[in-house]
Amino acid sequence: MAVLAVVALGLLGGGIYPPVAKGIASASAADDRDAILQAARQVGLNLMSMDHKTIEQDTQRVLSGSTGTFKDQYAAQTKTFIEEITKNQATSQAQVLGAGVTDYDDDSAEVIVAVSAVVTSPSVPNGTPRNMRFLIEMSKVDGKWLASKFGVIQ
Amino acid sequence: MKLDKLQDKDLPEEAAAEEAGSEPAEEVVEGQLSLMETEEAEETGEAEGSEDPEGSAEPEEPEGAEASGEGTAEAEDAEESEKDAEAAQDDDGEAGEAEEAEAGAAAASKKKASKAGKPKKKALRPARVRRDAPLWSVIVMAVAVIGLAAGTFVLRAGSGETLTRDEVDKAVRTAAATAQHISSWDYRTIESDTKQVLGETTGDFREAYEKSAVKLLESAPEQEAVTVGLTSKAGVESVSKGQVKVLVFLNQQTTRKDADAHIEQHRLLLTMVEKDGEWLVSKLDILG
Repeated sequence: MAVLAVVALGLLGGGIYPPVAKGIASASAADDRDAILQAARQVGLNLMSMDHKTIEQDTQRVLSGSTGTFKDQYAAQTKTFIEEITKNQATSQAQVLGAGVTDYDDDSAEVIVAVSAVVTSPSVPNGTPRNMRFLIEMSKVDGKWLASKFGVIQ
Repeated sequence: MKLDKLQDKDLPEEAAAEEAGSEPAEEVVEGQLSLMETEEAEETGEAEGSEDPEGSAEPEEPEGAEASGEGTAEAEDAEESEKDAEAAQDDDGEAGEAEEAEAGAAAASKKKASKAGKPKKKALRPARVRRDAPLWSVIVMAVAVIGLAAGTFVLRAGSGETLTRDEVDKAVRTAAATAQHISSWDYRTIESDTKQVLGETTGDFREAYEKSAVKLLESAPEQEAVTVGLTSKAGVESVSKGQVKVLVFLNQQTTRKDADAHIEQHRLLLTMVEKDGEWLVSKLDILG
């Protein structure tokens, strides 16, 4: 079961972010922050919401919410990822526990997202929830906030 | 910047307080603060989470689905945790939680009341200044001022953003630092550790902390417990009048006399309120 989570994170998480505190940032207009938070929460949720029956759409959804480095990394691994999940008949159910904007300006932002996911499969019918801490960099592209970098905070 | 400094100095010596170590038994120390808040936090996760997956289940429009579900989930959640707090009291006689929930409700209604009162006061004052002007001009002015004040108030309420960027920044930095103080204590300095936290907290959380600190003062020396909490990241979840909710990722290392040191990764949601120009923690939820 952990396989899926590990695969997902391993593939995506180019960077494991060390626990360094920096760039505690700002809130500015509430509208901007809300838009950023909503987009980042959705990215966190989509990343960990996978079902072997709908895996094509699931991965497509992640791609449509991403750009740049992150999109490239994810796209490069999608095929392997789909094979793995299909082979294990795995399902991952996720929920976003919280999210906060740590820094942002007009067209880029850094967001932390707390996600909990349970991965199950025929061989592991009762998965244990895994709590994860994501650091997601967002970029505004044509008026839309997309994930451009992704990492896990240890 | 500031955070780095805080982290550096926050090693064992400085290590501050924390926790609600109820039973001086086994896992007391590390769970302390956590123990107190964990139940509530889990509910938060579940209620909100049950809503979120729907968003993901609809690949066509994932964004809207999540966003629309959330408000409701959180509202329900608040109700639930109140109920649960009462239930907890009935079940195991822990008076603390239910009292806190009530206190929170009372505080909330007081806040509302004072908000409602403000615009009026502003509107009246200028009229008085012109006491000797013709009556009609006073009335006109009063009306104009009221209109202006009302307009301003509505605008601010509408945007939901009543704090400047600097104020919000300060709230986040304070949350990051206070989270460290709350999760760090040393049995050799436990009294000053807990005292410091009491000076940085208010309301429900302060009350709960105060109770748990009493137990911690006994259990920490017994176990020779030292904990160090370090904030990794802190970010703004929401801003409303005089209040900022801050998500904090924090690692807490615990060392005890007869146990191996271990590290816990936390996700904390701190509610910060402004009092006399200082940001204080009024609520702390442990997520997940």
